Amino acid sequence: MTHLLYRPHVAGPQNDITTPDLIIDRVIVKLDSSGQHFPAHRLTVGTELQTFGGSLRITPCGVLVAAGGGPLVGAAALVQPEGSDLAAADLLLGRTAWRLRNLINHFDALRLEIFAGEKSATSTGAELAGFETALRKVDDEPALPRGVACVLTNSSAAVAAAAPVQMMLTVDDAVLNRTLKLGVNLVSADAEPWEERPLPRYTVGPVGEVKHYI
Amino acid sequence: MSYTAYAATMQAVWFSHDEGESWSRLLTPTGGFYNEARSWCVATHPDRPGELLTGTDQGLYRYTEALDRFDHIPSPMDDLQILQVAQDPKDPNFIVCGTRPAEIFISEDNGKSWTRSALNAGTECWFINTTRVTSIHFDPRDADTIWISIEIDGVFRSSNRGRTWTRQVEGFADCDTHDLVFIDRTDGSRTVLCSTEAGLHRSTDNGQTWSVVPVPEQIAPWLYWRSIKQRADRPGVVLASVGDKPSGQAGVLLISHDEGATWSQAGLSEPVNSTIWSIATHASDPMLVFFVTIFGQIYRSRDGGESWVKMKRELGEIRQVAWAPTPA
Repeated sequence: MTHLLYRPHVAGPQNDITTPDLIIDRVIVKLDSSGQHFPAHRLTVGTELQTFGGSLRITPCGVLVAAGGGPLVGAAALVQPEGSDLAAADLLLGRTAWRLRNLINHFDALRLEIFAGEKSATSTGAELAGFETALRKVDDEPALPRGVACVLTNSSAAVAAAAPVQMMLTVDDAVLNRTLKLGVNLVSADAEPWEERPLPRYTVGPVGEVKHYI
Repeated sequence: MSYTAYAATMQAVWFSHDEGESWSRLLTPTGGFYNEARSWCVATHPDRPGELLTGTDQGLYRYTEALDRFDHIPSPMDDLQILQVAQDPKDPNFIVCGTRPAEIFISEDNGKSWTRSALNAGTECWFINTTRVTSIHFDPRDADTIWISIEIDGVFRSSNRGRTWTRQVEGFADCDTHDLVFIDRTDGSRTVLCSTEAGLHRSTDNGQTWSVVPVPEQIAPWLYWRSIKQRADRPGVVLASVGDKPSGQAGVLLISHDEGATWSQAGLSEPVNSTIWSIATHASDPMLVFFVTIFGQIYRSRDGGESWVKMKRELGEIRQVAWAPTPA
C-alpha cells in the first residue's frame, strides 16, 4: 500500500482557501489520449528534488485530483533523465490548487509557462494530452474516483535542463486573473551544499536525576 | 483491585497509578515517541492486560506494561492523524484504526499488516476541511458488524468486518456525529444512541433511521453532544457529555437511567472549563468512571457517574481517557 497525503491549499475565485487533506493512491499519467499508471510514491510536493544529474527533461502538466468538494486542478511537472521513459520519472506536484468547476468553461485557455534556467516554453490547457476526455469525465464529478490523480502532460512543451536549476511552472487563468505556481529546485544527488560536512555529534543531555522532566 | 488510567494528550500519553490523583509520562528514551507528540486515542483490551494502543500524529504505538515502554507499529498511517483505535472484543489481534482524513485501516494480525478499508466517507467538509473518524464500535450483538461515526459525514456500518460499509444517516439533523451507544434488550430489541453537534439522536431500527431525542434546555443547555457511554452493569444507564461548543468554555455531564429517554445533570465538584471530550468506563468496575475535558481537566466518579470529583492535576489538552486493571 502506498499513498501521498496531499495537503493542497485550494484557492476559490475570491482567494478563499480550504485545506482538505486527501489521500492519493492511484495516479494516471496521460502522455497522449491514453493513460499509464504511475506509482503514487513517486509523487512529491517538496520544493527540492535530488536527481541523478545529467540532462533532464521537464514536462509541464496539469493534474486533476478527486475531491469531495469537486475535482481539483493543480500544477505539476514530470522530471526524468533525457531519453528515459516514464519509469524513470518523478512527478512534482504543487500545493496550491483550484477547483475544476471554476475553470470548466475556460480550461483550454489556461496558459502554462515553464522555466528552467535559460529555457522556457509556453503552452495552453488545450494542448494537455487527453484534456478533453478528462474534462468530459470529471464534468460528471463522480467519474474521477476517490484517491485518483489524473496527470495531463504536454510533451511538446517539455524543456531540457541540467541540475542544479530552478524550475518554475506557472499556470495563468486570465479569466479569473490568477496564477498557480510550482517552483522546485532540481539538484544533483551528489552535490554537496556544505563546504564541510561534519560528523554527527552526540549530546548526552542531563547527567543527573531527570524525574522532574516527566 | 489496582488499576491504571491512561490519558491521550497533545503531549503524549500520561499514566496514573493512583486513581487519577497524580499523572506521569514515560521518560523519552523508553517512550518511542517524544513527549510533546500528539496522542489522540488510547485503547485497552481485557485479553491483553498491561497493553495499550495509542494513535498519534506519527503512527500507531503499543505500550507494554511489563517492559514499561512504547513500541512503534509500522503501518500506512504514519503520516496521518490516528484519531481512534479499537480491538475486536473477541480477538485483540483484529485492530481497527480511524484517521484524519476519514479512513479506516484494519489489521487482522495484531498490526503486522494493514489494509485500507473500502470506506467511501466524504473527503471534504466546508467547515472542518478534512473529515475524520470520531468513534469505532464493534457491535455487541453481531461479531461481524463494525460501526463508526465520522465528523462530518454521519454513521457508517459494516456487516463484514470492515470490507464494505453502508452510510446510515436518514433522519440526522446534522451529520457531525461523535459517538454511539448500543442498548440491547433480552427481547432482541435494540436502541442505538448517537451524539452529534445537533443534539442526541436515537434509532430503533439498527441505524436505518434516526430521530432527535428532545432534552429540556435546563438539563442540556446546548446542542453539542460529544461523548456517550453505557455503564457496564446496567445497560439502561447512559452517561453523556454536552458542551457549549468545540472546544468550548462550559459543559455538563448528563446521566440517564432509562436508556436515554430522560436525562439529569450529574453532580460535579466544580464546573468544567470546556466540553467534556471523553468518558471512560470498564467492565471490571462499573462504578469507577473517569471523564476528561478537552482543556485538560480530569474528573473521577466512584458511584457509576452520579457524582464527580475533579482531580487536582490537569494535562493541557486531553483527547481521550481510558482505564484498565493493572496486571498483578
